[in-house]
Amino acid sequence: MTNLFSSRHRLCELIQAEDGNFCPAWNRILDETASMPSGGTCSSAAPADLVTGKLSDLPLIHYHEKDAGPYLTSAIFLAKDPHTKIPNLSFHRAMYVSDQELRIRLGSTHDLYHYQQKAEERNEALEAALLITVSPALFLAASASIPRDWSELALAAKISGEEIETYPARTIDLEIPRAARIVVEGRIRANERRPEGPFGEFMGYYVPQADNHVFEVTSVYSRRNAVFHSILCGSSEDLTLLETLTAAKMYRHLNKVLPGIVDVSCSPAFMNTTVKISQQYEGHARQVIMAAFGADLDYNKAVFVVDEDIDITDMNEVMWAFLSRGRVDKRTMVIDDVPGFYRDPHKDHWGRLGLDATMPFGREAEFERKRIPGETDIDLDEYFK
Amino acid sequence: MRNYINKLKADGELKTVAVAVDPQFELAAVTKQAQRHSDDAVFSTR
Repeated sequence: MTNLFSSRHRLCELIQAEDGNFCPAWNRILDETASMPSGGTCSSAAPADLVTGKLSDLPLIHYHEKDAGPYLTSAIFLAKDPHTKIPNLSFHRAMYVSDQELRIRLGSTHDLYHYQQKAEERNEALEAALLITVSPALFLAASASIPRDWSELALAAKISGEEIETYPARTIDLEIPRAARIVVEGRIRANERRPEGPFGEFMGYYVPQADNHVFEVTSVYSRRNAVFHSILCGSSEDLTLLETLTAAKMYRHLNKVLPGIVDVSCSPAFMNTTVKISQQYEGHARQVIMAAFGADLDYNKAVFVVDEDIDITDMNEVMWAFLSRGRVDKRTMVIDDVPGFYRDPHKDHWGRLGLDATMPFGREAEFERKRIPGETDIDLDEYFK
Repeated sequence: MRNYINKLKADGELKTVAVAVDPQFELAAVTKQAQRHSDDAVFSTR
């Protein structure tokens, strides 16, 4: 099963948002989660239909020409903070080595990386479970970026409107969500790194081999007739979801610090952020650019700010606005030498670009979009014979 | 997930691949081509 989450329409539908209104609806869900950022689960006995297996029973998918081997790309890692015991869900690529071993890449900004470091400081392995094929609510929650002291399971409960049912794992001290169709239990070994990669990553390039974490498999099982969810890394399924949730994060931050924030998009790649505003005062757009730079230190390499009439998912229209609504020299901000995406040994993602594509404040009447009365009512079949 | 897949099928947003697909590159190639043409979910049954 693939391509489940590649449609913006479906993402809106999953959180009961009107098309084009993901950001405010997601913001409301986060507000509700903030009032109860943990819990939202109830434990019971394991499902009766669990079937024991091994990793090689799963589809071992080799995605790209130069990948080092088959990869699990849709697996959600479930683990607990070793100190607070708050559960966390997150995505990390996992390379199949054998039925007993996966090699995994933990991004240094992810909570799981910090959990593993805490465990490693005590020379302990970190217990974790890989959940493959879960409910849409769990999948969205795992994709979200939320404060470290919130539980993604609590967020999933808010999204679905019901408690997340769990059962005790077989070999580790974790509660497994009943909605997970395939489960791989194990532990991330302390003080051990082995070669992982290369792998074709989301930016469209191969990430070279590196010494990364080792996941020791202790149990594999699935629900009877489980479906296997596969994600082509960097595909529209991968990026649409990430772009949408990054935009929602930016929207939430910007709304807290500035007025007039209407919507945010991170299309066509989440290295870009486009903010739609209702201009409130001269210089408003430049403040939005500055605030957006601070909202996410990894991803928003470029920030555009546009007026309310611009379709922020259409970069042709965004660039048209930038080029047609004012000077390029006075509406471009370049910030040198700021670190960006964390996996960047050659500083290719350093620096920031801000582009104010709004019309000059107070001269809105001069930039009224021309329109042709009746244009949308024309049926060309009635004219061309 | 079963419920969600059934909903997508009912909504006409699910394409089914009924032929056997090789997990070595072919599955990824089919996925990429399918995504070029639509947002529909893709379910390989074999």
